[in-house]
Amino acid sequence: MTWWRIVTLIGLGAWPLGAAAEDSVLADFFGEWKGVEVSVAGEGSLEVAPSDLDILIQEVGAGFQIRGFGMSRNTDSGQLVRRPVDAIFAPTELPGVFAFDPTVGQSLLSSLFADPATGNPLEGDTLLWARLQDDALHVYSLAIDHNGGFDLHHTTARVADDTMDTRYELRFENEQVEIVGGRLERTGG
Amino acid sequence: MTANRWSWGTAYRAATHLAAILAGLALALGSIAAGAADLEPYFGAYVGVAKLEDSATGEVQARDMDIVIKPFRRGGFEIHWVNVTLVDGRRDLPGVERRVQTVLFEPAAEGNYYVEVEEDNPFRERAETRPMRGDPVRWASLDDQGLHVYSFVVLEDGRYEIQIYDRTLTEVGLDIDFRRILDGEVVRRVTGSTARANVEVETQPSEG
Repeated sequence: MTWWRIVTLIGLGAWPLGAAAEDSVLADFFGEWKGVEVSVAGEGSLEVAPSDLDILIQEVGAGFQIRGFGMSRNTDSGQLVRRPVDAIFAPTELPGVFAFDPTVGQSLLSSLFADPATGNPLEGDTLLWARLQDDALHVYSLAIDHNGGFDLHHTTARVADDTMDTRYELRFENEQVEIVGGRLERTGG
Repeated sequence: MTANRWSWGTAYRAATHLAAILAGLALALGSIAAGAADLEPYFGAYVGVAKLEDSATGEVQARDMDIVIKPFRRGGFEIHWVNVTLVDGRRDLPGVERRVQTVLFEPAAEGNYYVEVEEDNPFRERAETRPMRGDPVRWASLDDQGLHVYSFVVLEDGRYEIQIYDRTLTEVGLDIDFRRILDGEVVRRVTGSTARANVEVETQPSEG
């Protein structure tokens, strides 16, 4: 059985040189964002176009929803392919920390992630969570495959007015790391 | 004379049931044996040296290592290790530190890997692990590259920490490669090599 994991990819916009890193609020990230630049570093054969970074981040209750393109890795072949992702995050009792919310607006895509109250990667669940700290929004996911390997995803987003910088890191098979960076511009919201 | 109520049909059914039980037992033992055979090259005692590099402080430390890997229950294994942090390369100076750790693993119910268990609570691996509440997730795997032990935790501020121990068989013992990764950054690394030690168990005190 193929063990598919979802890779969350958030596009980024350029961070203006010399700009001070001020604390961001969640609302700063809301909107429709269009990818305009992308770069890929790593040993994998990952091809990403700027348009793949297009993303929607919108307010949902006290949390937020991310809807955009993601990636998944076939652990048998190691090939990375593009797959959309859709997830809603709700605040936790920890300041700045958000957990995947399975109770709101469940979709076929969001059903791939585990309920944070019960999810256990050792039972095949994919953990998904986020944190907002200083000037950055971070989104993470962890999955353990059938042979005990892991896929650990970490995306960092920073905004400045109507541009967003993103750095996406996928760590798998212990030492392998794929990094996707990009720039997005706000088009709506 | 009371007729023997056993019939060939009854005997056939009994034999069929017994065969099914024996087949299931053979399959289970085979699985356990396969797992144990894969781990078996790692069982033993090892002594050696290692170097610790802390990226946060820039500190480099020398360590002595003493490792024992042995079978645990059915198809599992135990790793017991002692790290001695040296002072100026010596063990006999003030400031030397000694750290002892033991971890136990059993095969996962599903999947080709192992989950951490507690010796006093054999059902711990079935207890609820809640990573989003800060519970550590610990597991191990075995492949052609070596024996790998992982520990993952979501910290209170939402960052993650993952610790990876890689133990690789060599002609003389084990090579060790440990990384502590904090939110994507390798903050600590320990590399070392060991030799398999001959273990002598003395049943009576000796003077030398």
